[in-house]
Amino acid sequence: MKTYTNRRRFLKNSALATAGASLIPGFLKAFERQQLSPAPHEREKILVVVQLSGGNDGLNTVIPYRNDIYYRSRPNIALPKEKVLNLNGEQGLHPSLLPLKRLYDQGWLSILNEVGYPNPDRSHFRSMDIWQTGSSASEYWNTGWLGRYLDACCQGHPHQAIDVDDTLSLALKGKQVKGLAMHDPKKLSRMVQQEHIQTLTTHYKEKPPHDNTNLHYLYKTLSETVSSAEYLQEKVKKAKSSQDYPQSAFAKNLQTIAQLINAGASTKVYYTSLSGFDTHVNQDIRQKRMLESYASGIEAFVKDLQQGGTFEEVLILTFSEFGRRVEENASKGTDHGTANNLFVIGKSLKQAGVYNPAPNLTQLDHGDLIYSIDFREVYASILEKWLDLPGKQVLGRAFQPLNFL
Amino acid sequence: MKPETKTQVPYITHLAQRAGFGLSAREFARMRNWKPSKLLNFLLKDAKDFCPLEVLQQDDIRLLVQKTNNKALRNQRKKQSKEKIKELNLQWIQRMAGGQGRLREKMTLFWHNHFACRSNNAHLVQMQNNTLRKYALGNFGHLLLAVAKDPAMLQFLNNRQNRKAHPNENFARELLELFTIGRGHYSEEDIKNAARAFTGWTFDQEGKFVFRKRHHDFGKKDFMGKRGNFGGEDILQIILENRNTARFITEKIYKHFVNHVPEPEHVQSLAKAFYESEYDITRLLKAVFSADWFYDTSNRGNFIKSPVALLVGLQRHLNQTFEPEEITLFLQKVLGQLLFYPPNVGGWPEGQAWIDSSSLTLRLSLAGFFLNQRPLQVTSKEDGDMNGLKLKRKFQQARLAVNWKEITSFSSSNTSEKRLYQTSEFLLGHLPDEKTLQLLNAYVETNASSEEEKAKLMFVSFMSLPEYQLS
Repeated sequence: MKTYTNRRRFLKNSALATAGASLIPGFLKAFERQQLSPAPHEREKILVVVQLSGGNDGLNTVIPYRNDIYYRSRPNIALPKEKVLNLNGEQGLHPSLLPLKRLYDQGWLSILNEVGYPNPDRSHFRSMDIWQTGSSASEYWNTGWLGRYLDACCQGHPHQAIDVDDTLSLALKGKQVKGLAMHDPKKLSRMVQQEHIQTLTTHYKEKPPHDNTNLHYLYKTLSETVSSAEYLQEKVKKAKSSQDYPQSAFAKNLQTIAQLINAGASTKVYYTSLSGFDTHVNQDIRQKRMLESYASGIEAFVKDLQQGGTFEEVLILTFSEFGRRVEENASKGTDHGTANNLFVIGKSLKQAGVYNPAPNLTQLDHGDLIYSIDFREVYASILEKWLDLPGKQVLGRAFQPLNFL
Repeated sequence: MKPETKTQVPYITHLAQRAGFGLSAREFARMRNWKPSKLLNFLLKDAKDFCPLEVLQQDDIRLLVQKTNNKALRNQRKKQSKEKIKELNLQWIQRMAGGQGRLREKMTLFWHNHFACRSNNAHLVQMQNNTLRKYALGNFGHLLLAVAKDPAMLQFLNNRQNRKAHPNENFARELLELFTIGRGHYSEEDIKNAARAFTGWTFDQEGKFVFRKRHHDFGKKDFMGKRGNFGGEDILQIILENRNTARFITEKIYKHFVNHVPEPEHVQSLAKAFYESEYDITRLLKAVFSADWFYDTSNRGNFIKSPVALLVGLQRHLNQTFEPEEITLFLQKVLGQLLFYPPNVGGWPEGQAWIDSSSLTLRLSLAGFFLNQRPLQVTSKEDGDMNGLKLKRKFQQARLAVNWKEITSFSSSNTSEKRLYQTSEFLLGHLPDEKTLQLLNAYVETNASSEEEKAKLMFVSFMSLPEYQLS
């Protein structure tokens, strides 16, 4: 598998690296790609993970608008039936998610209900830790699930997984390989173009410390960072995007990702997060704004990828560390909960639409939803069916892959 | 002792780094020709006194612990509490950077990572830190008992919910797995029985330990081959009687102070002595720091400094406190080690885990930021918690009024070559390879003219080397 991928990547890189590549319009690039990838299953497979930080209220995102318990539990903040964007006669999307509804109508969105894990933890940092590492609630792991994916498949440069941020998420830290954090390639280049860093790297390349010490590790990391920065900067130099994005930091991050994907960067995993979902007080306005920002950003991103002819190569996973309590609190908000819904977006979904039954509101655990899909089953599905790696290798044990992919 | 025969300087800086956070320029001038044994005695004597953190005064505490049904007031207190935790952080950093009692500070930090714990209540945070610092160099058994009765820990590991009718195993599990004996030396049944022994261990509104008889399970318990009506103290005693506990703690100390890869023979003999001394922490450390092998080349300069060690070390080397002060918190966060907020009960993963592309680039840019007014192009991650610690997400500038004359005073030499060597010994504890040294020297000579500029640029350059990330 590896040699094949390498050969293909070599072909692709050399084709796109020719001097004229930047002049080729997007649609021709798409054509060129098709030439290189005659059959769909031979295309690149890229994963984009969107983390909604703070614990998004899933019940007001995908609304069980036929369920009286929902309305009884949330007299102040429930979304009225007539405002909900109907999906399947039982659940519907928050009105701010209209752009997402359009993806749903195309058959590019799969919604998984009741995703969680046993003995759920209601602390932000702990639950996020569990989601990012892929551990169970009783274990403490120091590496992320995508970091371990890198360990298993992609020795080499850090830009194979990129966190669009200034600091690296635990999700992308492996034991041997770690991803790269950067806001945009330009800024990263500026950072590594500081004189002393350049000098040190050159020095390292001429005469690397020969032993297996931490000093060697530091120089190696530095040198890889510099090459990754150069590589990415070179890639985006050629990228042209005609797609309009909304004005937000989140949308800008997605645009950076789209640029790199459309330019054919050899990155397998992108990670970005949107923060502000911790809606204990006056949830209404805040969540509306957050969801709007999320959905409009994602729609622009998908359009950008389509123009670049790369949407087929991308799978987008959106999750939050937990959902929120079924009952609203006294401040027109909601408190930390447990199981939550999760979105998968892509063109090659096996089962688009709402994947499994709406959350059960009659059987709760201390007022919280009980999970029916373990989030690691979702990870296993993505690992096995999209990233071509046995889930067990990353997750430590076998989880049954699901059929949305 | 081997090191006493050759030049002492690298051994002195090595010991000062490992048993503290490095030397100030003035100390370096005074101590560089000491024998390591003299420095060790100095460090032990200097760390004798226990001096508690005192951010929260009685009035603050009274306010924090008062019961109220007023929600606005409760929220206000939460906010105040978080501000106080920031102050505690800064006070602790100041203590570490100040130099006094450095071995106690270093051990307090070690125990903070060992008994890793979070609490949003500043009163409990202060109490816990003072418990750790009080017992940091004393008897491990006393420390363990104090931590088991510590309100922040009881809260963090859910022992308040541990009651006869519904035992909660969280504390018992971490006690065995992470705090004392380590995996492989106990069974799930041992955890269950230990949990029962700690039922009823809780604390009152004011943060005082309370034993609630009516929640305690007085029944017979089977624990690690013994049977009896054990209470929490008995469980701790049985754990301490087990040699694996001495071994587990010794190995952790060895990995933290000597080498990430433990040498089984060294650990074994240290652990034996530790056990026989009935867990005397100071004696253990003394044995480590005076062993020949502690000064071996393979045990020197091969630790990646933790973010806190790096930030404190910089302040010691420059004899300056970072300004604005909050930048210390910001840098702890972006570099991945915010005091009082360990990632989980397992503590911060150390060594190469500190380093990735972005954290390394940032680490190498710190000296330029503080000394050359280069902007720091980094923002901290948002953790999404509405009630989380509020930190400024971005810093553009920092100013340090470094007294260059003072911090370069250890180098009286007139030849620039010698000065280069001495600065290297001061900042790195050793000389980097020839080529690096040449590059650095050439850079300084071409880019600075006056003596003061040269001295300054030399400092910045050494501090921007990957070598400076090691200790």
